[in-house]
Amino acid sequence: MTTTNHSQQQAVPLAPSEAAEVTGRAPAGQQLRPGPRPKPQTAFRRALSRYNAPFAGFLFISPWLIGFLLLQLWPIIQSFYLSFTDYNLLDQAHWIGTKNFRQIAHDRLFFNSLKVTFTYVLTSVPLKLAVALLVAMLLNRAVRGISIYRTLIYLPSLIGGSIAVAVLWRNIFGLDGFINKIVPLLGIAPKNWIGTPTTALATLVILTAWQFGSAMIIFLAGLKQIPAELYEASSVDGASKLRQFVTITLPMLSPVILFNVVMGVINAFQTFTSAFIITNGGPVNSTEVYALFLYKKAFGTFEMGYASALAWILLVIVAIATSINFIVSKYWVFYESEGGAAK
Amino acid sequence: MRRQERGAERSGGAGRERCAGSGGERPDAGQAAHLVVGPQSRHDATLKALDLYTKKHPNVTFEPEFQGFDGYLDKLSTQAAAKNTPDIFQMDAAWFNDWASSNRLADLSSVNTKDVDKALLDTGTYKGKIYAVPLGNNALGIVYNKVVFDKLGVQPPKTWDELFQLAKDIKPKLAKDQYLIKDLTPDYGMYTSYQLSKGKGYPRTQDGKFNYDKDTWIEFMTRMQELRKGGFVAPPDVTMSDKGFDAKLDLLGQEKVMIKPSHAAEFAGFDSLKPGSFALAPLMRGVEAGGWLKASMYWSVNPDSKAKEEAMKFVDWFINDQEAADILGTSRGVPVSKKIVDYLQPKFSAIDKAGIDLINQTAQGGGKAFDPGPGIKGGWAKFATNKEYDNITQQIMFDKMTPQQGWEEVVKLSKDLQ
Repeated sequence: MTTTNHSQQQAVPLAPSEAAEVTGRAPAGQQLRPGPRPKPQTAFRRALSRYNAPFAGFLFISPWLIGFLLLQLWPIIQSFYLSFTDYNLLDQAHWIGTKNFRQIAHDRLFFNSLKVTFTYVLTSVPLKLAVALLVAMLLNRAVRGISIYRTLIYLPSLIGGSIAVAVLWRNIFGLDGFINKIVPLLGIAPKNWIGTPTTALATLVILTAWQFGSAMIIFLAGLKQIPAELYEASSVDGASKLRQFVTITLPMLSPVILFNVVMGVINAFQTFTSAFIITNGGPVNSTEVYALFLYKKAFGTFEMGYASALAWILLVIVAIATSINFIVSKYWVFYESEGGAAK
Repeated sequence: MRRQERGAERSGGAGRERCAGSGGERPDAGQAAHLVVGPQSRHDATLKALDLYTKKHPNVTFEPEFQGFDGYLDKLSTQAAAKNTPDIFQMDAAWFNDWASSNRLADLSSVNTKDVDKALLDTGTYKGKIYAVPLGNNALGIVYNKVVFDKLGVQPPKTWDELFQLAKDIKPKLAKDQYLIKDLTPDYGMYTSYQLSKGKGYPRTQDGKFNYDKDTWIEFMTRMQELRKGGFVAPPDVTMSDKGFDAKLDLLGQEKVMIKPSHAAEFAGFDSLKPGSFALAPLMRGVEAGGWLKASMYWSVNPDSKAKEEAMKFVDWFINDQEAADILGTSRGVPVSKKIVDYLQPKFSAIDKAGIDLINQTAQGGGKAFDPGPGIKGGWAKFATNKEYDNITQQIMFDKMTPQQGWEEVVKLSKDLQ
């Protein structure tokens, strides 16, 4: 398409690919307009022509777009504004500058929640992935009825994040819970595991590890992608199972591991339900994870401005953690397409 | 929808109910999310009363909206921000000041309250105007396991000193995992009672005064520490497991502790855990009474409601009418109108009477009027449930802090108050 027949295009809706070209060259088109039938062009029409085709595109994605703009982007912008106010849900918000952030810097429970959250992330994510990988490898065998086993083992993860399981967990680890029927056999005194500061967080970590299902499925898919020749060749060379695992399985699986680590970390930072239902942050705030701390500020004491500030801090923390994951991944993740070992 | 009926004057949304355990002065005290007999019967009674009122006043219809106490304040606050609260809704002593001071409640001074106790009415009054009408009388006392006490031949303690002594004396006679009380260290309500009994007033007052008494506080924490170290009170993890009115988790219901604090209106809930086992007694005294009197709940009216007049007439009817009283009984605590109490006297059940006795004894023993405290404004949010203050007292309970260190931390908190 040349620029000379540009004006003709006005009447005909543009195909998206053409539109991109037109928009790309629009300034040039204006200079070289002397075409056969010049039309008077208002600024409005020009603008319309320029965005004509993308507009149709926007129209098609509008159900999602409107939802995103009104229900996500707008609240995000608002929360950014509110983080600089003393908004409490009942009264008008007043601009207080960075006071919220300065207060957070001195908030003992904020640092407590950071400590709890990092402990939770650093223990639950590795544990969950280790369990997921182990189970995935067990299920990656040619055994009769394997699909039934897969289904059964995946089943808990379907209900894993629900309130019902959290309530169940509370009862299992409670004073009269199932665990207390078992531990005396191991010589441990029964106690209220969720009511003791040193063990409460561990019960939540175990619950998370138990919900390994989706990570397991992804690992399973990854394992199936590893060519069997690699194992055959190495076993001809006399490599042990452990050697095969370390030098073939792990490197070949590393992109999948990275994906699971990144998703796991992001999810773990935002964990809420189990801490809210099982322990409600207690005892002595030992399970008050970041999201729960934020929730209590927002809906417990109505410090919406403060809570908004906390939310933005969490965003920064998660962004940093994810960046670290990606930066470090260069040193251990192996992509076949790049045709070489990880550096 | 009833709203659309021709000529129907709307007085909807009456009776926001807390379906969890009744009573408790903290906004989250209803976390025992189990329906117990008392509250369920209250729902039914309320619905019946609404029906009767509609029959008598065909121009008024109701859209009752029932809701658990958890999350109720969140929802109501959001509605208030949009001036969209129901015409009539439930108010709580703890939020009353915040609400009355910000034009979110209608002036209810025209409701007939001449038969209501003045002290009780004052708790719903702000700057000389009534904004919340109390619906029931209530008092804080103790509930104890009468069966066990009778068997061991002990009396419920009358003073705090007797309580501490009894905790030691009774332990050898109880099973290994049974105690007189749970660890009261993190229990703000019980500390409040202790300080009241010493004649030092409420630790946090409605007008925002930090009134913790240093010596009393350290003494209370130290005495609890001694009991804890001696194994005379429930260990911290057991104390943490207590969930009021929960069939499985309530320590009193499981007979793991023998005494718990209880409001008169909560007695039915405790009784349903183990019918016939428990009895009420006034809170332990010191030089003054340790218990207090309060309203079990309030109703307020939306100031922007179109049916404001009708709403007030209904509230009036609800507290003063004998027919209403016949239906409602003591479902919201002892009725506030003295006339109605006299009228109902012959119909009270044993549980009702236990509650009324506690209220009378508390009043006669010099129980104070309940102070709802400063709310959450002006830095007091740090004293809200599971916030900084509770964190400190829990640390003391788990022996991560001494009472002395704890007090220093509390003083630090008080520095941030405005």
